[in-house]
Amino acid sequence: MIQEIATTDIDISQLIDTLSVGAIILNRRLEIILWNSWMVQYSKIEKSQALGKVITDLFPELQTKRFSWKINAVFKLGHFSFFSQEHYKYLFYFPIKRAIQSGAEEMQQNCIVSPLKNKDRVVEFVSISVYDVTDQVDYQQQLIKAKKYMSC
Amino acid sequence: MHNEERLELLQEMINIGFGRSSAAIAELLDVFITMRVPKICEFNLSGVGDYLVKQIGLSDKISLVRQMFRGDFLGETILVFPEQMCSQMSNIVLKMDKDSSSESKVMQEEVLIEISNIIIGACLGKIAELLNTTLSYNIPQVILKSCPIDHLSEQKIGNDNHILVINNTMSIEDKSVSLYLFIIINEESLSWLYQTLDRSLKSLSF
Repeated sequence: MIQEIATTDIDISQLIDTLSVGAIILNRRLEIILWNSWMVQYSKIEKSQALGKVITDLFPELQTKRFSWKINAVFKLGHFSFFSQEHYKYLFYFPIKRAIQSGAEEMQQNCIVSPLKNKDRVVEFVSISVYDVTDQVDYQQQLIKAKKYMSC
Repeated sequence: MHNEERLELLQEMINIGFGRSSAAIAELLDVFITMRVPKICEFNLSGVGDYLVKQIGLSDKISLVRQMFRGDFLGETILVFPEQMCSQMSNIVLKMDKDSSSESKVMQEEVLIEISNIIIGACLGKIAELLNTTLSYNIPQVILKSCPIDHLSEQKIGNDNHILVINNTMSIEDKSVSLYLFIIINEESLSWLYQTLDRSLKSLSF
């Protein structure tokens, strides 16, 4: 019989650190208990500096009513919440430097806040996944420009 | 089991979800909200337009928010907001927007999305939880903003799809407004849903 990975002694964080997505886990006090390599790479904040810190202390720009509202909603309702690029552009300010610069100078992000439930189905933690959608947004804008140009 | 019984069971599940959510929504949005027992019915594609026109009236405008979900059953949800609902949003927006510099138009969209996200969570999230499965969701999107109701027919929906329509009347600060949630799923997902409902009903009966 195949042994499920969770029951082996393989450290799952190896997988989490190879993802090309930002992964963060927060407890109810908004303290960071997981901060993957992707987040280290773009935020320039080491794991040792991030773990145990309150996320809004580390990123004061997140001290908004909307951020706490959404995180609160996930803890309370046990349902997902979203920060879409369309409305927020980004949640974490990560400047990007690319060889061919077009469009935004900050990484454009879609972020999903998900509930993490314990065995009693109580939301004990929330995770934030950060997706880099800068290229997508670039292409979309180029498309809009081309459409405008064609209709002229 | 008859379809009516299954829909009744779904309605009951959603009602449990709403019971838990309405107090939380009220607290989160800082407004007084109550939700009535939702009504649920199954439609084929052609019947939906007529149903909406009958319920809302042809003259009214609507906004649509779409969100995809996937798991043991998958599909998409479309929440239909009548214009009346959108105008009520402005109060809520003002309360939420104290620390934000973004345009109020963007904020209004954001609140539509937030409300639909909560309602979808209360409906689908609760159904999934009671059926012992989990769903994940894509970012919700406003696909139509204050458009005449006949624009709905321009939205393409695949032919093999079934539509569960959940009519939810909620009162926001004394004014009641009806929202319509479409759960669009294909044959395969619907039969999975119905089979699982049958099983769970069997396990409930003594």
